[in-house]
Amino acid sequence: MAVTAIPAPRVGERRWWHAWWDWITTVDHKKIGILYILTAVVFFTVGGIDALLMRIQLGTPENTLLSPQLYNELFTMHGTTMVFLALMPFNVGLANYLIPLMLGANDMAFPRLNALSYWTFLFGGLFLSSSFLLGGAPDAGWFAYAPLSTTSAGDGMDFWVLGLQLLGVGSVLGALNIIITVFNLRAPGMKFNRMPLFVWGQLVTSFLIVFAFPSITVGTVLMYFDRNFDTAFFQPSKGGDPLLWQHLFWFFGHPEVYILILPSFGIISEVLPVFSRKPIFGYAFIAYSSVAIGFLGFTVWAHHMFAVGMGPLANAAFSATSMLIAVPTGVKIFNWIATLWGGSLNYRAPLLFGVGFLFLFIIGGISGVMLGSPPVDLQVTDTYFVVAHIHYVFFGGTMFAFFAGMYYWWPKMFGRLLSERLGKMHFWLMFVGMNLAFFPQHYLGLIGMPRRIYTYPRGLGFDFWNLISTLGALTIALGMVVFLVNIALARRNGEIANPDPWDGHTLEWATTSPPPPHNFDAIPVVRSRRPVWDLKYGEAQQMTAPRDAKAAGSADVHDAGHGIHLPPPSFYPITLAFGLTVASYALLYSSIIGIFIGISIVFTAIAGLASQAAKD
Amino acid sequence: MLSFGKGLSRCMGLAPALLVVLLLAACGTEQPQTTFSTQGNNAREILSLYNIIFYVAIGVFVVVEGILIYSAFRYRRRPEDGIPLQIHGNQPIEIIWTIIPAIIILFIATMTFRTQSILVAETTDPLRVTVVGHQWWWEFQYPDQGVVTANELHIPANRDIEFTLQSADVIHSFWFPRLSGKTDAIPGHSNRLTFRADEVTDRTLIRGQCAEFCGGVHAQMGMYAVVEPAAAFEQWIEQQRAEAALPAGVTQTVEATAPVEESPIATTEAATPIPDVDVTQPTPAVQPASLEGRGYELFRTKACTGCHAIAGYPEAIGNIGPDLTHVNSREHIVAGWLENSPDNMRRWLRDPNEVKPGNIMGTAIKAGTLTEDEIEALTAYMESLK
Repeated sequence: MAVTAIPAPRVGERRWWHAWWDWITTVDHKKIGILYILTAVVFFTVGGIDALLMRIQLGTPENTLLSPQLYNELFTMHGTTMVFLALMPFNVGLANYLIPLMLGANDMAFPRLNALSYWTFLFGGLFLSSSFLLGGAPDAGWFAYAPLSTTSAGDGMDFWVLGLQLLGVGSVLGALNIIITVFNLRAPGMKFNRMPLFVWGQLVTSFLIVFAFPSITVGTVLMYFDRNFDTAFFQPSKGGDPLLWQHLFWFFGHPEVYILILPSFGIISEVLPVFSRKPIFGYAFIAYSSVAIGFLGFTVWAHHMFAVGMGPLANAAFSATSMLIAVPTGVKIFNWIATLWGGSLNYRAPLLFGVGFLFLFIIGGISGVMLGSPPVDLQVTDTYFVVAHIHYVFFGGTMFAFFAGMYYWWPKMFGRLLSERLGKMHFWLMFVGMNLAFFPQHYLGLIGMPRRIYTYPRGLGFDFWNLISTLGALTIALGMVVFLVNIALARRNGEIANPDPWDGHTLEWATTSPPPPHNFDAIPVVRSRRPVWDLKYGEAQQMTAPRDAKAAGSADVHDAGHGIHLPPPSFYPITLAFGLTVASYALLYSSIIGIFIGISIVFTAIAGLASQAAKD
Repeated sequence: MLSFGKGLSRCMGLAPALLVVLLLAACGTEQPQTTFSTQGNNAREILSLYNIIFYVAIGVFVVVEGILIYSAFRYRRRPEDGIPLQIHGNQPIEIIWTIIPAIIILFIATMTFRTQSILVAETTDPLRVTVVGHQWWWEFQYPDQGVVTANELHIPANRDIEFTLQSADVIHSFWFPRLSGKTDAIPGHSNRLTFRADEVTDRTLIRGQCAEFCGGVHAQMGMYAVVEPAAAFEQWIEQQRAEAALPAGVTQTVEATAPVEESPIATTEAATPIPDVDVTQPTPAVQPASLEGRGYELFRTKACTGCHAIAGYPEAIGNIGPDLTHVNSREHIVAGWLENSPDNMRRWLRDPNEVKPGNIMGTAIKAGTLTEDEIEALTAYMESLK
């Protein structure tokens, strides 16, 4: 039962729940991408409120606004929310929306699997966040070091363990889907070395997810056993080893850093050339340096553990591999600057955020090399120096790249441009706020302020810079409000976007804004790295159009309309994700009946999906 | 304490130019945990490595950000702009900017390994100290001297100290920024750390604190190192070896056994169980005459002994809270959080949760658990434990 791209004429009135039903059952990669992004914006705001509360607490010494317990829950949830519920889904959302468009495909390889990934992400996020209402959030840090995590009272850490399992399911399925899509659904002529660098970044990221997540999955299963079944994998009193957890966690955790930043490298590699009106400088070097970073990323995990007493030799080895990553990263930065060099820079919001990204990420990269030196690390690890470093990488890096991408692709997604005036205001508030909030934290760490402390006494010299940092955080919050206002207003007031508002280079600009459900009426044939640019500026007819349904190998020659096969909407993905969530709550509250119900829902949904696939 | 000039040089060049002015405003203040003013060989070696890496970093920062800012301004779009020259790349340039960072990294790595080899150098005639991290205080044992103390680490200047780091519950990290880099105290592991404090003319207090998140009031797990000339240290050891004397007018009711020489390291059970403490027991009918005598009786009958040890007092062998044998010889109480004064002791006994919310003593003692009279007597007893 295949539907065609032309919507069937509807009988009767279209009510509000029809729209909701459309979104809930959608298997369209563009709708799923938008759901990912908007959900992540909500979680980012929640994680930001966590951070703001912490910064207000630390604005003055010996502050008693927050209790230590609440503060510990807030920083645990801030880290977990930002990593798993905001930054990763931002990137997955962009990947979902853009990869088929950039490759000249009609959809992802597995549209229903794609929907399943989203719903497990949403339910996993709600599951984790519900801990605040159900007796206490996780409180052992997003790194959950044993035995603090295994002995932490209450359900908080069980929420964390089970929530991460749920989110892990969605992440791995999504990553496999991206890999398979990239390998199989490229338009004719779209060779690997013609693929947009955004797709390259996402491809490497997906491999990292597939190889890194098993480690955290194993770790959290063992932790669940330790907490609930009295096993002793990480319990020293019964012969376990707390360091085993650290190795399992960081073997995932460090690649995770690259999972969060490699897609941003991709966004920057798309935005800079378009707004410089030049091709990317050193395409192959940027693509292959991502691959190099991906490989090296698996060899550096113990640089998070220089202080655990591994000995100087192990520390030196992990130090060397960590520093080595600076080389491919440096190559990228030089190529980006060379892309700007000699260009005609059009300072619209995407480029402002793009150049802001470069400025801030360089600082994060330099402090990263400093941290890679074990003796220096022994002084600054677990201090605010590291807090500063990760925020230059994730906020100055990932988030600035994300905002660049938002301003760049918003008109493609919604057919309207975001306000340029609000966009500039947003940029400057965030740029100034970011440096005020995080630059002084380097210094705070060096003068001895540990991280994860709910307060600090007077007389340690921390007061002034903490106050500045809090003012910076408030400035960032203001910037975020401007962004939210901008996207809220754009729905009605935004300038209508034409298919190619930025004079773009890649295939997504060859279709309407927003694109039709099937993306392209005709699958384009690609002859260069910048098919849309070439179509506009010479080397004429680089991209050719007419699609021959038979030649393209479509199985749906019987279909009417364009003859483009799209899978029907499906209610099973959300059902399956719901079943997993029921099972997670049941595991949390040790309810055998609940587990049975959850698993039953899961199997029913799997059966439904299978029958749908058979009919398809 | 630090001269303005010294403070200035420490802070200079740390931030980009726009922040230097602001920095000056903060440099005058005291920074007892700064890594920039070292008092030991380990911290000093790290600082000199840090300085090398820092200047390399500043160089890279200035050059790369400089080129970025230049090109970002120089090539902004002008109305007369046509389509710029379409350059796709340049192989020789790529090779050059791969090699340059590699050379810089090689240099930093070499300097790093050099410092690492210095830091693991052999010690001569070290003083051995076993550090046990507890939620949320520090226990210091001197196994060769038979001394146990808490939260204030006395060490002789100019002598190698060899620390064995352990934990009674979760992971902690032992860190005196002015003396040395941090090393974790992990349950089930024994980590080793050595350093030597610089010569001092008088006793010098150096602040440190736990650097690995250890739950609850991790923020309030502070400590002090008291660096003294060798003679003063020996004197301190002698004083700490003495058992606590009984307050006047009190008779020892329990037969004295051998003094607790080395408080046993609590099992590595992750969560130390809190003993059954009945703090509601009535005070004994016969009241000793002196205030500290009454405090002594309260210390016993209120079951303080379940968590705290006092050498010479056989019932008091607990290891959940700090050893109190010579509590009044310390400059601070509550893991470096409060200065040691009768007022602060009263404040602590009145409501431990007000000072350190969620600490373990606070599970037994709440506001109102002890009467003002009892607080007065206990404080007097604590003051007598010199």
